[in-house]
Amino acid sequence: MRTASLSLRLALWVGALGTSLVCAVIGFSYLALVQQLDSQSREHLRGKLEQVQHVLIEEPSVRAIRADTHGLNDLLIGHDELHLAVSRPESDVALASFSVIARESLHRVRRGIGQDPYVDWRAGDGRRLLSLAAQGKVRNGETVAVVVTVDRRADDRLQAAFLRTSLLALPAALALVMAGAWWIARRGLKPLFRLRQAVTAVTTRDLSYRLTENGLPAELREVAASFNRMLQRLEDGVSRLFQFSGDLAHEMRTPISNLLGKTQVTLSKARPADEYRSVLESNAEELERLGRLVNDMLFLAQAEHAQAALQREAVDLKQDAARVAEFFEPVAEERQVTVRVDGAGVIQADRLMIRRAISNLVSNAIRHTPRGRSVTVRITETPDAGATVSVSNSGERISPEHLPRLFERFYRADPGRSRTQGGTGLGLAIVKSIMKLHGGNANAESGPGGITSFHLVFPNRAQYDQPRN
Amino acid sequence: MRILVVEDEPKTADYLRQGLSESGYVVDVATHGIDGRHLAQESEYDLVVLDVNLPGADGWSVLQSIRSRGSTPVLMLTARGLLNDKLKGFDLGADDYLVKPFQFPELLARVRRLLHRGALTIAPDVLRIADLDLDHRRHRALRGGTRINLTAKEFALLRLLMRRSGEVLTRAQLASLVWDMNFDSDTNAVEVAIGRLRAKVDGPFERKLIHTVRGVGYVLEDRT
Repeated sequence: MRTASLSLRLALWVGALGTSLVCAVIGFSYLALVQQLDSQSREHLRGKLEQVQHVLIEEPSVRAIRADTHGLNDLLIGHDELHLAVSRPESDVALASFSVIARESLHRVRRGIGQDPYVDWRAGDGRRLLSLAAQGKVRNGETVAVVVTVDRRADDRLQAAFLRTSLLALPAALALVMAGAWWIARRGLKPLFRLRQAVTAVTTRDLSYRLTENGLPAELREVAASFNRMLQRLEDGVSRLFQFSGDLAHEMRTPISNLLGKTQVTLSKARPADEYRSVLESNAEELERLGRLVNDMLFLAQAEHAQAALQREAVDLKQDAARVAEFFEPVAEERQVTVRVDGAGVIQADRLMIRRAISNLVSNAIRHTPRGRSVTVRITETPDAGATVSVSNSGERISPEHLPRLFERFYRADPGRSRTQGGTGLGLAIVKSIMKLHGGNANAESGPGGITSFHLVFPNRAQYDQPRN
Repeated sequence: MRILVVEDEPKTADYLRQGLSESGYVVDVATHGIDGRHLAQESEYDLVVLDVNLPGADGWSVLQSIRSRGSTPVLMLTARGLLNDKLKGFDLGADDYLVKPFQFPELLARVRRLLHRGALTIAPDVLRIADLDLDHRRHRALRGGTRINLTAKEFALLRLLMRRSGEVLTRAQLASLVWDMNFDSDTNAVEVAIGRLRAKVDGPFERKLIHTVRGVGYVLEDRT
């Protein structure tokens, strides 16, 4: 059943329901029929008994009944199913009777009589009979016992016929119900098949396709809407990926063609050893940068998937920021830029990654700070909001449309600035992915005064483990 | 000391052989997994440099067969830097792990560390190269008897270069060993720091001790 199709399952369930309904209807009808026939027979007997009592009251005496049974016999004409016996009270000997059944009824009734004046019994040949016993009076006041009996053979036949017909019709009805259920299920699920066809039409080559939500039943409309949203996300992701691999190819093409070109030019004629050395040296520098690009790419690719790779420990942000500042101190001093670290905070994080994120930000900040100005690393920690590391520098304002895109891979706010400074263009993307791994966020702001700040926002302690689930 | 390099990429194998030979090691190269396993079983090596992706038998199985016989140090090389791979390597008994692309001085440093792991090298408190003296305990550096004023990091950098005198250290190695920055960084911080150290140590002197090996890194040695 687990693997059965939805339509089959629905058809079976509806079929089972239909079948039980049909069976119940047959059963109830049968019971109603039996009851109806029963009460009809009783009515019949009661009517006949009244007629008999009328005839008896006309008789002068009990003796006269025996002498002349015509009056009573007339009552039975045309009613083969009826039998009548009259006797003295407390006697099994009939004063008047019109059949074997009638005579037998006298003694059956005496034995079977209780609260109910009606007695059900069976004759020797198995016929079902219903008798009604009562007293009758003759004109001189003497009483007699009267037993009217009806033969239920016709009723039995009717009941049996009903049962037989019903049971014969049952398989056909079942088949009909099942087929109907199957048809209804198929028809009801048709929108689902349509949905499936539409979904099949979606490929990586064409993610622009969207399901039309109109004409779908309410339940499926939500599914289609979710599906469309998923397609949108996929399309965004895939187009980012295409963009990214395009950018990557571009980023690698220039250095590779430089390397190849320079090497080929050098090899095309004999040169002094010094020249070879200088080419090799320059190649090595270029290759080192390419290697770094590949390693950064690898880091990003792994960061997208490997949440478990985080090795969390208590990281004293102040101490780590100071280490980073110390590392950059010579560079900063050379550019006459000062690096300050303020505040403190402790988080549970992967130390290497946190250092890397802060280092990327500080390195960027120093690069963009004019001489004589300063870079500030400010650490704040509040119990509710968690810790934040902000790296600020004064310099040129970054216009707002660039801010959210700064963290994209290879994004350049200033397209004129090339990679000659040695950056891979992935520094901020790495910062962002490190923050994502830690369940936090990275963002940037740039004020009109030329103060640009990058914030690393860590979740508070309670939330540390949530994003890893 | 004998090193076995098991690497199927001919150019990689070639430069590893050349680089390690020129650093004074005897190098055998196997370009096939099964050859590698055979060689490792047949002869005694002090170290095996083992690529993961190999034809015939992959690096893991070669590593297992080496481990089943003894404790020869094994340095794994791989093009995949996945953490799982790394853990698998260490689980199977690899001693170290390098992800391609790596820089040769890095590999050389690790090879040296693995080979001399047994003999704990305690750096002497006083180092001397040419007329440069460094006293770790007194935190003092002298060039030709004249005191050089160094910051703490400059002192650490100089001490490292002196301890590893003659060995070319890459920027990444220096960043990691002196500043504990264990990741690739696109900054020129190390260059600038070396420049400042050089100005203090070599600046006023005829005899230069700190040399730049362009495209590779830096080395402190007396070249006269």
